[in-house]
Amino acid sequence: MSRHFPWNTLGIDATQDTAAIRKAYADGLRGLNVDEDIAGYANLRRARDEALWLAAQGEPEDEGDYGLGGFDDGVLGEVDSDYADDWDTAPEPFHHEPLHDAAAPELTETQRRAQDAWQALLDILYPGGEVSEESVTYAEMEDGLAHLGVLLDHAERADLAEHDALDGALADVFARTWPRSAPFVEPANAALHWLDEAGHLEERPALMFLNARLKGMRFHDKVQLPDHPLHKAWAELSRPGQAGFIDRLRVKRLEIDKLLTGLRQHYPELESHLAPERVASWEGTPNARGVSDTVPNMVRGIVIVLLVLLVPRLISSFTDPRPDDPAAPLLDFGPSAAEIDAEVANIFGEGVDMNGVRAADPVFADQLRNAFNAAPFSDNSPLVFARRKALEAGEVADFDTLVARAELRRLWLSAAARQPSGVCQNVLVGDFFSLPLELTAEESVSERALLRQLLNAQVLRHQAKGGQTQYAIPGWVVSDVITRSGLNEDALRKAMGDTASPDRCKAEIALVEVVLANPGQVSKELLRGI
Amino acid sequence: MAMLVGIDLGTTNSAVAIWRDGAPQLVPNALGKELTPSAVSLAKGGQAWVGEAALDRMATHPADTVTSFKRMMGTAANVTLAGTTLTPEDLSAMVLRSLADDVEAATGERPTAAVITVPAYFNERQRRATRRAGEIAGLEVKRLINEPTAAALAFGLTDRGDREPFLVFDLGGGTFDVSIVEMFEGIVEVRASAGDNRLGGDDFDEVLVRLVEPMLAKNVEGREALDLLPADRRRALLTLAAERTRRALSNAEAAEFTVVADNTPLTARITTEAFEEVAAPLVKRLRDPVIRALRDCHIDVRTLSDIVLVGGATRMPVVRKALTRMFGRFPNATVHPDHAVALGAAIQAGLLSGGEGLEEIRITDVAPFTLGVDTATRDSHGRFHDGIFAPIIERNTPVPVSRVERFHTLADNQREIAFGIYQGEARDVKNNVQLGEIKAPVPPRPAGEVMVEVRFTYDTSGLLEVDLEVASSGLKRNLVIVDEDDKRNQKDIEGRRKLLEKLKVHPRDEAENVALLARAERAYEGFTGHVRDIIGGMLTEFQGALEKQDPRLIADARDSLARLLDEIEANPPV
Repeated sequence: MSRHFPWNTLGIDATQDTAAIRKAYADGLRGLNVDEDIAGYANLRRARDEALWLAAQGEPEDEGDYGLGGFDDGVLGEVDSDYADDWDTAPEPFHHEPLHDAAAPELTETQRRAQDAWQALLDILYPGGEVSEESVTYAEMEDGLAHLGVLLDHAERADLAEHDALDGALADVFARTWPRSAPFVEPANAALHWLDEAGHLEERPALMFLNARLKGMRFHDKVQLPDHPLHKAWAELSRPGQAGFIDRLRVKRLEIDKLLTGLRQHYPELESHLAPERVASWEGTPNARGVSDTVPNMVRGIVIVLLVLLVPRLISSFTDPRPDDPAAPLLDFGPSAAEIDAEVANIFGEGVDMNGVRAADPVFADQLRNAFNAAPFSDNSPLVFARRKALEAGEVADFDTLVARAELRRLWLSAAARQPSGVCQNVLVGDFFSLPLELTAEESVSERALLRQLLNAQVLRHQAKGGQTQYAIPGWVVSDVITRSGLNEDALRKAMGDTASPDRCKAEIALVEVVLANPGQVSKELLRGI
Repeated sequence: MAMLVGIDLGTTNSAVAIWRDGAPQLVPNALGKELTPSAVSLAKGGQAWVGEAALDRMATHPADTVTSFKRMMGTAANVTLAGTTLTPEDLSAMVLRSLADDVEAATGERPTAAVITVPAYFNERQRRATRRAGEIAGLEVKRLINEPTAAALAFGLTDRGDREPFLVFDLGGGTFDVSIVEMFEGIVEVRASAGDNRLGGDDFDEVLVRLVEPMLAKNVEGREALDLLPADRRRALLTLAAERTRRALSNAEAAEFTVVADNTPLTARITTEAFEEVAAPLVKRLRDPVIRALRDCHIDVRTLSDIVLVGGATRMPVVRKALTRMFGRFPNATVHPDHAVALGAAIQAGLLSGGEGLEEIRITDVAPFTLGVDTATRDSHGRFHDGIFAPIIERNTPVPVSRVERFHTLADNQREIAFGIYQGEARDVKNNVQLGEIKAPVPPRPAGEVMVEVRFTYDTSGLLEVDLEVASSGLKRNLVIVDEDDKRNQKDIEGRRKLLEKLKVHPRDEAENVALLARAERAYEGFTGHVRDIIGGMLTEFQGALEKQDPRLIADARDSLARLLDEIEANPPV
């Protein structure tokens, strides 16, 4: 009888007996010198694979029935009406399925925990079941990280299939919810090695997206550091307003071009961190507003990007304890112990003396002790030193401490607002000594309590890294600030872009108050920035 | 007919086996052991040690001794031992030659050809280096066979039954391979391979050293003694101790980590728990290749019929525990983890020489890496992008295979077309391994009108042949990748062989004495006080006997020294 492919190649009649197919293939292979007849080997394999596939398709009479059912049996109509129902009711978030389906039957305790964590993480990523481009708040971030931790821990213990499924599901949901998922990508990468797949031929689409973002975030972190080669260019382009004559002397055109080209090619999303007007003025675009149109729409909701110049390290570097040269030599002409204790009580409140400070934070106690020794030779009092350290602690503080720090700042700003305008400007840049700040008795009491809280949290010891930090102010905060400060939007924008603006103080006070009214609702960066 | 042997050239240990009387058989070395450490040691004047004796000299002469050189194969790295500079190929060749000596001693016939195993995930350059090592050792390399494939052969041929796909998990001293293999009707079919050629037992030793260093620092005196040692000696001592500790941890919940630095003994107690914690990042790296191999052949992990363990490092409980978790079942440890690969190589050798009882067996393997060329393109904005990898043979394609791709010129009046030939998985060719380059003149035409065909042919020995044809002019170019490199090296190989011949390896019948001397010297260094004096005395006695050249005297002294060392090492007095 005449046979057609694949059966003619295998030399057997059509069959569903996989053992017969394999035997035919094995016999064929034994009769072949594969290195001499590469095409023959390829053909034989193809025949075997196709025969096995045909055998798996079932009885020959089923051929032609693709399992889709007829077109006239009403199936399609029903599907349509199902969809219509879905449109009417609240849409079921599409992303809820993957894991639920995968783990239908009885679950172990850890699987149940993992599923709860997965659900909770989804709730954070899709607030109210919707896609959102708002960044997560501090509280949501901490919650989300905890849930992610549970999931990653589970993946670590699970078998390969479950690990793989979870890996894929996380990559997928993070890619879909970017940029809201941003804070979770790096920890997931650490556990699941996503970046190892970067640039590979078979890199999954979700990872292709996330890995590019990951590299962008890493670049963003690095470029903030003063020793990064493009740091100057980055700092220049992040500044609001147009580039002036001096700016053009300070920063090399070449570096600006390099940064912009690289950024647009590799991390386009990072351009939203730059000031559009400044970028436009460097690029010589006549219409400065035009540039912001090119910014991807994922930054909607980020209204103002500001740059906070951290207080210079003048005081802390002067008073840093030097391990090789302890405070001893200075002690001779330093203040007496009683004087010190009195001043410490003035800073942290009655009942706290130098020993109390040492018990709460020995590192800071050394620093403070040095500040006492240095005080006669500088304009800085130990109180000023403590205030500066409180501001700098923003770099390391946790949520509660950040709130305390923000309250301190509100207190200082509102006190400064009663005084000549220069005082407020000074407080804004962290300068407490040129024009002294006068507090009421009540304010002093609160200041001491807040400083005491920071002391006990052991954050005053932190040595500020300096450099710059940026934060974004979400839309709702801006509108609240407008209401509270009475400034219109343009005036507010101007004030936030310029530390010397006369409205700046008012705007800052309003901003701090708005944030403090709802500290759990804003990003960590904003809480740190204010 | 040429004598054909199967050789497992490992990172830590090597072994040789032959096909005889219808079965693979391991050939023991001069010390009667089936495993020969992959270690080489040299002394001024060209004296050379290979194997056990060389390994024992590691503690006493770390600067002149080298192990784990398999990890350097295919790189430009060199090693200088006692003033002689050797390549990793030379060092491997010395081990291969000593294995060939063992076969000659056992069978009376000098082997002239070999099947040598390589990690499945070895790239072309590493394979070529292995081939050269064989040639320097005077062995014609008939075939390079992948280690997990060899292990699968040894596993599968135990009962010759059909087997649903199973997974071979091969974690050696320096490399890690995963292969998925199926057996039916005498056909051994490798479905997919993946691996990490920079992960092995050595890495576990390293994390153990890092764990133990701060613990040892608590002993101030000992710490100072350790710090005073030259860096290479210090490292050698710590690594040797780490390996001992790691082995001990395979059988106990805790083990002592012991080093003796300049008469000062230092110890730390390592628990399984602490070791598992520091080894966790390494254990995590075991997972990715497994997932990759399964994905490539579309096999569900739950349908695997077995997980077969190969390689000494799979003895570690931390690895077994991780595997049990990954696969949701216990792995199969019935195969001898150190012998299976050499036995499989001997089966392949038997197949190639038409050995009896192997008539029905055939093996088919896959190409472990993607092979392709670099290309350039213009995007929709007219920008030019080059260095893009265009795969021609996808990884895990059954070999031999021949595939063709068509490419077009990119510029008007282009006069020449050139392709870099690459191996790897990255989209950007910079991150792949370049194997060669092929060029051809093309007739000047508008861009895109000239078409060239590039054909890749990859055979069962891992030889890649590239053919380039310009359609309009009929011009053809051919490049055999392996030949190109080997032609340049042919003279070189002769030179290296001569150089190695100058080295004085101890005659085989002295091997036992040489090894015992090196071992006793290591023990002498490793102990202090009274024990050291006793070893010293016995050592002098043994050396005296050797000088007298009286075989009976030598045998007596050797026996008592060996007994002493056995006893001391079994119950270390520290």
